[in-house]
Amino acid sequence: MKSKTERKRNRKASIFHFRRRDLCIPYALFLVLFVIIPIVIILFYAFTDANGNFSFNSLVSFFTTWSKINVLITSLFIALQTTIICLLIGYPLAYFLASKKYNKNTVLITLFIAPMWINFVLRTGATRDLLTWMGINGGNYPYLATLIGMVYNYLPFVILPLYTAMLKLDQSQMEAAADLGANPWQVFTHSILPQSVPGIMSAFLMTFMPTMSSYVISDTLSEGKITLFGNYIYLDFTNNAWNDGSFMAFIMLVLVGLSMLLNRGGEKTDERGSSGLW
Amino acid sequence: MKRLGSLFLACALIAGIGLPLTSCSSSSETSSQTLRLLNWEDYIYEQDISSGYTADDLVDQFVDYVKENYPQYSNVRVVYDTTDTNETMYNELMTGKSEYDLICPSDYMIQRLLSQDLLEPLDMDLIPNYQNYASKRIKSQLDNITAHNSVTDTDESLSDYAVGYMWGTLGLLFNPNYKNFTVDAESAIDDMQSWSVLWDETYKGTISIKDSMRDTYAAALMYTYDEELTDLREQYESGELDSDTYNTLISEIFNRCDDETIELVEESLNSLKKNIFGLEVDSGKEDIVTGKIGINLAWSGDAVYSIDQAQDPEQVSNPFELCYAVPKNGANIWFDGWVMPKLENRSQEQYELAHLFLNFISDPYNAAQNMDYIGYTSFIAGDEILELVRDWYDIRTNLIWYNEEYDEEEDDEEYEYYDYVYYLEDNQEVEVDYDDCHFESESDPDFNPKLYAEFSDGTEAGFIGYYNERLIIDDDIEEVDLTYFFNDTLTEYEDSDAIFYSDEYLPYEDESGEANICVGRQFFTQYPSEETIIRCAVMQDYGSQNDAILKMWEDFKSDPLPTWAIVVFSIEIAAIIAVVIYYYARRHYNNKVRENIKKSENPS
Repeated sequence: MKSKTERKRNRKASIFHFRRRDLCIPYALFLVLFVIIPIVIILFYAFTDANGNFSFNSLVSFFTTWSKINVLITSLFIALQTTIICLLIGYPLAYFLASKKYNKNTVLITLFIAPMWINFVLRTGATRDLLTWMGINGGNYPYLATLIGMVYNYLPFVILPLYTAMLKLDQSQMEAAADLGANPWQVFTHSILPQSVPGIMSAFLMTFMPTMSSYVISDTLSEGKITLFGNYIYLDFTNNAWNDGSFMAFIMLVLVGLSMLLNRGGEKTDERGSSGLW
Repeated sequence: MKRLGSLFLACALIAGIGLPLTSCSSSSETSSQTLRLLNWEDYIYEQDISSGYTADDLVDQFVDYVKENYPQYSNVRVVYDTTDTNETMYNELMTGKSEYDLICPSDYMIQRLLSQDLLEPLDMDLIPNYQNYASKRIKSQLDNITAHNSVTDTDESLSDYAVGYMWGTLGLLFNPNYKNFTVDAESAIDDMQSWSVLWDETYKGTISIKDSMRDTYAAALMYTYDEELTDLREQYESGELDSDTYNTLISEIFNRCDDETIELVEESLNSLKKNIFGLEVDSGKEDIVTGKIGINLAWSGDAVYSIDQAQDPEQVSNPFELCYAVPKNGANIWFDGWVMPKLENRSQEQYELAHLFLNFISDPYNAAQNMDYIGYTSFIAGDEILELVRDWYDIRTNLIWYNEEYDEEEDDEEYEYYDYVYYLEDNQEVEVDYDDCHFESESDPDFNPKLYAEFSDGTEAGFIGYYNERLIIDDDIEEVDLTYFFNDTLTEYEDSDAIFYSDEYLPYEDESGEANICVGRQFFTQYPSEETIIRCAVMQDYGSQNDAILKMWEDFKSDPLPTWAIVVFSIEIAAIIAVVIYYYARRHYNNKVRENIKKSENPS
């Protein structure tokens, strides 16, 4: 048994001694500085008035202002459409890209992911010119142009998690299902679909929330005619309405939290315990 | 949990130690001779050799100038930052984190800052260049604006706090020959004399307006009170009102922001929404050049840029003409000015350096560099600006070929290099020996503007502007009187020299046949006539009504979903809910079946 002084010395020395858990300090620092402190600041502004006193003014004004609710609904609508269209396009695509039968190399998947490497503001500018050239300009078809831009922008974010999920598909289970007399449709609904649920959930998360809060795409492609939640928050902040803006940012946070919970719920039902991707 | 706690403690400690450390290092960097400036992006002369701007950045020129002339400031350094909105500047000051000595907000923001007692008065005696060379007429606009300082409870004039930098108007930039217009160019020009053109269904889908609360509010306000403004204009034209009263009355209308007005403006805006192509902040100036739109609500500086682009064969395959109109019932005149935020730890040296800087940029030569580079119109008049304007717009300035070896430093000597000069006479090129030809020569008063020179070896390179008073003035060329702007600021020139001859100034005649210079290309855009200035008003800060107008703007920006979207949306949500219910119901049913099987298997 060590003496008290010896133990003390050891503890003292250990302050300067590098331990493995010290490696997490940079990450913790990052979390605190760039995630936790900003959230606390948002919360502070969301529930105070212009003089810094606690108040529910922003909350009341959010739920009593029709235009704000309206923007929320519009954003949800655009986000849902984008997600559904992306999934409809991305799901079969990811299946074929991941299947060894149809796709023997990785070049194709790289091609589909490639647009992600170009800055999206530049891409959106180019999309605008392209759509105008095709006659689908935002002035006349704001919703169509915005949706095209959104789908184009978020498709890689749908393909990637789905592709990863499809790579993990248990081929023997599908074969067993077919052997036991399931037709292709039943194989799909009873084997492929349940197995790819984590991929779908990740894809949903990667698309739905960013679409809601994005504002460059809708601003550029709808010629400023469609205002999404992100635009509204920005508008408030640039006009010194910090409290209202923060409250809307808080609503976004709540929505993100809700969708995370939804994802968790999806995971629980997955009996084999495979967790979500990304 | 405890471990996590200690981790956070460690972080807090590191953060706590780190912050003072960094602040120490930064404060040792900022010596008492560091001048800190906050300006708009692209709003000062900067070196750009590929575009022919070879002189050093204006900021560097200032540093050299100070070091040369003021030995006591030998350690002078300039920190130059940029921003993109007035509101960001305001936030900088409100959060108390800013340490700028000079910032450059717009008129209404200066007023707001002043009313909240955030500005330091400037010592105008230390800025003689501004007093001597700033256009008296434009400066008087600034004198007329006051702000009520809510802290000291006094009314103060902006001119004690701000040094004007650039100014301009808000008007309509348009392409009279736009392909989607159903009317011809002449009636388009006619229509642009009124704000109601934005609401006119003839131009549906060709208009883009500003996605900026104040500017679009201004346009809608002018439209809302169009009748009242027309009455005023008629009274002014018939001589019942003098120009000052007329301007005051327009300003009164222009600054209405009571609840009733806001409601009326919102109605106007909602009907405008159906007629426009879109809202933009800075894409409009490109879009009108690429042909996406035909009409753009534009600031004069952007309009100058677009007109320039549209005429440049290197930018567009078929150069075309854009025009800019300031509607004749009234419009907005705006300006940006340098102000000094209040700061506790500003050193006396920084205070003096700030004034030196203001004096430096108010020097007409430096102002001309700025203007040449950024394209907005400077507050400063004076000889150099007059020469610059002549260079740009006066038809009597010729572009003559010069030898590449020509050295700008050697001033007038270059003419000796020429061997021949050509000019057009009845579309025939006429060759004259350079020695026989004198531009000022009385024997040859009818020199054609399109003249150029050549060297005996046949080389031709580059351009040089040469001003010749004796050149012919033909019928398309307009006399442009800018004496109102240059008045009292010229030294080498007479006031009468501020009368220019230009084909960049299109006169416009309304139905009654009265000539009214309301529309034109670059020259007019950059320097509106005095008549135009009289009907332009400064839009002041909305003060306590700001929130109400912001709310109106938010309402305007949020469009209810169209019916088809509501239908699609509800179907989708119903489908999702149905799928979820089906999923859980089936699981519940399966579980029950399983339980029943278990029960029947083990009937214990």
